[in-house]
Amino acid sequence: MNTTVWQTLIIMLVAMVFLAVFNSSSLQTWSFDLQPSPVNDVISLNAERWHILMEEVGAAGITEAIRETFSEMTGAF
Amino acid sequence: MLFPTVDFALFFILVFAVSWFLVKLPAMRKHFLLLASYVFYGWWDWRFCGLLGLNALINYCAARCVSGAKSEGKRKLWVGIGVALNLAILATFKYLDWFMQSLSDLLIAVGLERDVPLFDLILPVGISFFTFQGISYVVDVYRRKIEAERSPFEVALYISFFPQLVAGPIVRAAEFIPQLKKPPVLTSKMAAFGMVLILVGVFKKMIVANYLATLYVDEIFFDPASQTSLDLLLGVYGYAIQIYCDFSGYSDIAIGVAALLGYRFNVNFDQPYRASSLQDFWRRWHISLSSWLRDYLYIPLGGNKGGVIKTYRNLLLTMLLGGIWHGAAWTFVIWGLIHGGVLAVERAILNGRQSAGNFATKLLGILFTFHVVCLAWIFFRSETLDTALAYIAGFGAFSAELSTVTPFILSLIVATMVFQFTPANLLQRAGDWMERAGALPRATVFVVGLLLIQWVAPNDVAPFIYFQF
Repeated sequence: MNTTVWQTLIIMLVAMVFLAVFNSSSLQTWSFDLQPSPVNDVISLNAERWHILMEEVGAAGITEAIRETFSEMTGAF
Repeated sequence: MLFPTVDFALFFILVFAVSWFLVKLPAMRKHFLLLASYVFYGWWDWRFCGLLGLNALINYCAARCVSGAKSEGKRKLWVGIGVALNLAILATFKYLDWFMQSLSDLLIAVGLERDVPLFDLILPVGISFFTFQGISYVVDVYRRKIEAERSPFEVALYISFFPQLVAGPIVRAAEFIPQLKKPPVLTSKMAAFGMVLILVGVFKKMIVANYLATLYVDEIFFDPASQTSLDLLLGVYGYAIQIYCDFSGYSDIAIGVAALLGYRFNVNFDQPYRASSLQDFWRRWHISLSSWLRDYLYIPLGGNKGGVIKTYRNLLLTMLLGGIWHGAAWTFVIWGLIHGGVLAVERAILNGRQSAGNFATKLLGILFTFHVVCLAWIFFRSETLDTALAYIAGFGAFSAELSTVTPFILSLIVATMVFQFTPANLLQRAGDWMERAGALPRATVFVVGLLLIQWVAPNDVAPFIYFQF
């Protein structure tokens, strides 16, 4: 793999991590929509734990605050 | 699988990594991409992977038969069989129930009521797109533009390659299959441009199209009779922007994703609402479909070679069939007739000249074209013909109150219209900047951009409009 491929892969992985951190509620919602199966149950459980952790560290709160502010802005203007 | 979802993000990172890991094993890479494309398609409904495989097999065999035929007559026969089989599959899934229902209505109208069976067939996602790709492959082999492929897997990959599989762009075999023969390369220019396109596409879909649909357009089109004239006008402007952002957003993501895998697709939308004539509009809107219709329908019908009347007939027929391609409904028929009719009238008036002229003429042309397109969108978007007619009748009330539109919605419409008049190579320039800026700024723009979009986008992802076709 050449340098550009590595760089692109890293950029995409970093984007995924950031989205998982700041958008953990979407990750949780996504996991709840998976078909029930032993593997998906584990994914759902971990997505839920992850979201709780992100709430505790405040990352999920940032997202909520931004969403709320934007929602108020779009409603108002 | 929808593009801007967790499923697709995980899928694509895996496909990206494995496909570039296999770059020195081209045959295996192609098999892997084929498998990935079937997983992408099967995510929606596994049963239809068989249909996709059948389509590839038919086109592979038809092209081989065309290529191996000893006489011109036999070549013509095989291409005819290939095209007919493609159209038969499309017609079965897309038009059979409509035909049976229309037959039943007709029998009732003439007093011969019969129980006509309806099959309730599920429309396979993307069938119109992969059917057109299959036809273009067989016809291009017949026209000796490309050689018939020896490997059925390459034909299957061309037809089912996941970035363009379900909603285009309609890629030509002559453009894509030669790319499969060369070792793929991901240059920093392609990577930067791919990321810009993905960001822009996600923004258009997640922000502009989704907000316009959920906060305004759906409500206006749900019950046009209860809307004021001004709301109806803004409603159709909103839909014009929504469908542009929805569809061109999908195309942008598809082209960007293909670029990251090392393949080039042609641009599919080129600021269509800046068009100063309808002919110009069709050079900018869904370019892969309009050029497909031109090369495989309008020109075989005779194009502009058989005199004035035949040219108008061919224009009308091409757009009519283009309308029916979208679905079996009278609304799509009228959409096609409006486009075909105005194209014919425009041709008669302009007689081949572009409406360049002075600034005022150009502005008039842009306004006229945009409003013709909007008129056709009313039929395109309405669930039934009656709804569309009620929508148009609503303009006659001349009621000027605005009941539901907000400044936010207006700003989305205005901003997207302004974007139509920015320099045509703006995205290319953004890609060039991303390339020159280096890996860290590129990463920052991509990550922060995606994060911002996710933060402000509505929670639910509405399906892309063109999935239904």
